[in-house]
Amino acid sequence: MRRSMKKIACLSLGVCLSVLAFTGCSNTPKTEGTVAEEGNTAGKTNTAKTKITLWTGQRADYVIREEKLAAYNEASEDTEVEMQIYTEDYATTLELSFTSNQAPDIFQVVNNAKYYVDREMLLPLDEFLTESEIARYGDLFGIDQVNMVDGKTYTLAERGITYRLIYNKDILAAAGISEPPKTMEQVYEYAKQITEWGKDQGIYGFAIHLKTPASVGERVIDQVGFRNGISAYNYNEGKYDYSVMKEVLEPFKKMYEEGIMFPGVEGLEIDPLRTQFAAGKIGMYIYGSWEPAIYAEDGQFPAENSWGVSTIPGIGTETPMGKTDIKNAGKSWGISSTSKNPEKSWEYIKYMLSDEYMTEYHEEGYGIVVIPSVAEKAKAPDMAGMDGFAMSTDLDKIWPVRPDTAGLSVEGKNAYDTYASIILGAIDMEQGLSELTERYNAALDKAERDGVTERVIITDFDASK
Amino acid sequence: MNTDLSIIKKQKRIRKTRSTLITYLMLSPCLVVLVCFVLYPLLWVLRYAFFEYDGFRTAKFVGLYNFIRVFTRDADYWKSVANTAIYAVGKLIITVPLSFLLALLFNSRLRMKSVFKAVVFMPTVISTAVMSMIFYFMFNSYNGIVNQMLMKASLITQPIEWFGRDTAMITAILVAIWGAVGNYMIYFLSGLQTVPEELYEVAKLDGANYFQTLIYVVLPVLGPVLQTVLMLAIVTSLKGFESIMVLTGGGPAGATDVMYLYVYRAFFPMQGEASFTPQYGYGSAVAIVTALIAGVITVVYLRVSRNMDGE
Repeated sequence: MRRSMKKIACLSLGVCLSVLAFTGCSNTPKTEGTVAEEGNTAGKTNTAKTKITLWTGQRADYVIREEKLAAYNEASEDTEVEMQIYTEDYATTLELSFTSNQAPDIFQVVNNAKYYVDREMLLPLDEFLTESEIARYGDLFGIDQVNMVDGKTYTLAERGITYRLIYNKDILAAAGISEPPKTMEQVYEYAKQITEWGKDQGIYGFAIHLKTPASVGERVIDQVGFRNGISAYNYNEGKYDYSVMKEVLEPFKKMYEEGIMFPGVEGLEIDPLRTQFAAGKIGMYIYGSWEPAIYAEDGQFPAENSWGVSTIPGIGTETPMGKTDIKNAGKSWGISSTSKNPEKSWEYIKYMLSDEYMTEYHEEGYGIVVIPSVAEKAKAPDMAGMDGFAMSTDLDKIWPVRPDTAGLSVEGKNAYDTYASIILGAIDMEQGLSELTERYNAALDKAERDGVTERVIITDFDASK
Repeated sequence: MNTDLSIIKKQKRIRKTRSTLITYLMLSPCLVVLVCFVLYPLLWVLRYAFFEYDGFRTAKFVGLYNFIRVFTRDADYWKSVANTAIYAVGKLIITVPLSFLLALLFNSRLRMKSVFKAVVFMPTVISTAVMSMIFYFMFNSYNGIVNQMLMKASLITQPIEWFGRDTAMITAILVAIWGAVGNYMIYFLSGLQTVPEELYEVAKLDGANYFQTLIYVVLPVLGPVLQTVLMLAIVTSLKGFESIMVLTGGGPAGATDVMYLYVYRAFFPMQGEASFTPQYGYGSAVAIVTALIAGVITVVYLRVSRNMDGE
């Protein structure tokens, strides 16, 4: 009896597997580059649409992007756009897709155009651009190496990320602090005050996410430097000098050494940091204008407290002379050099950058749109904290490309890993910065000799302008 | 007569040829995969080790430049070699004895041992990345369950920074042990099940107690299994980097950076959106040096452990 039961069970499983295997193999065949129309097609022709793939590394604006994309696909008679989001290692995945011939038609340009042009990943957009289109972008059109290389345009401005200090109003008030810090010295003092007051409740003054040193380096350390007119790359002379970063790194190093920072910052990523801020465990941190959407009621981590946004503090002064770098300003989407449908890809990019699309994007608080025709008319987004991130000519600017952001290959640890090691006390500050200066200059000399990377020299560069 | 013999010889030859042909035919899928996915990439790695190449621009021949850089200017790489040694030794000295003890336990008359065996073996079949991600949350110092349990049990008063510079390697080793112990336990268990019952009976008649039986009877019989387990444990410890990549990313400040993670980063140096130029040429040279280090250690071990194979 038991044997026959086993036989029946085995037979049933076998049948199930066979059915699954056959159904798996019986998908409607799809022609490469096209996709059959799906869903309710009543009242529409049943012709196959051209499939356009789009890759992005950003999830924060997924809701509006998906909604707009669905509307486009619904309205378009000949194109079906498919969006794929790669939040983890987007840059790696994108580059691998080119080496394995699986690149998308459209991709989010997160690096300067020069980086991609050197790798033959982008197609010029000039043949699609009309004069009125060019005029629409004003000064943001034709930024050398950012969106234009050797006189050809590869991507266009869309939105920009601004950087600010984010603080928990309730914590600051409870610790006896009346207003957010204006200097990095105050950041240290306030963080210390908060930690001393709240440590027993698991509340700490300041946090950074050192598990990803590149993110901290680019979005925290560099931004504090830029706001204070400090850059490790000397644009006037076209040389690296990392010794200038000492005063930027010192407050962070001091906070870590004295146990003022949130415990476990060495292994902290940005999302766990955000969850702890939303839960009211972190007093202050520095980051970009993605944050309001994250802490909104329907955001990724709705905040359980009242929080505010303040400008990045000065070093030794309450009125720093520099400006933070507007990340991603000047670049947005690009067409892959391997795309078989550049015209249709351009049509979708044009749709994404249109006044109508961008105005809604801006007003709903998904990002700060920099296209002049939108920025002039769009209403301020109704989202807590967004006003603090609003772009301002006094606070923000687009910093020129540096050789290392244009693909300079350097021997040994990169600058951001070294910054993290300095903050954690694993490397002596002077020694670490001096080695960086030596290695980056050696790499630049070699790259220039080999004709791989250009030395950027702007003799009249002024960080305050 | 001669004709008969030659016919038989001919038939034998045909049969042998057919058998050889069938053997090669059956081997061919494996050989194709081996050539395409092992030998061919390996040849490219060997080639690129002598080139400067970032995956996009034309590769430039640089001779021994990459190898000179590894041996003379890359202190971070040699730090990762030292970290690998700590990681491997830490993992081995706990995993192997623990697997053996568990195998002994499951080889005895224990109730519900199949369930316990399955539980111990489970980590082997779970994805390393998923497992490491769960450990990342369990060990985080601000609200991780490990610290909370230790504090509730009054074993600690302050949270331990499990991913701090001095503790991250210990955490990585603990996770590695959890992932490996079930696998080696199965090897030991299968070895223990091959020990003839008569040997236990003879030892009992000779008046040997449990530990004497274990040391003088069981362990010598388990020699070949132990040799294989140790070799596997050494090789996987030297090669392992996936769980470290998820847990700490090699940080903080390079405290958990191991050899193969270093090689991986030479090929895929990006962090999030930030792009650092890949160094395929240099990465290939580092990969070759790393493979040689792992190979030499394995060969030395096999030579030293020759007596364990029971011959």
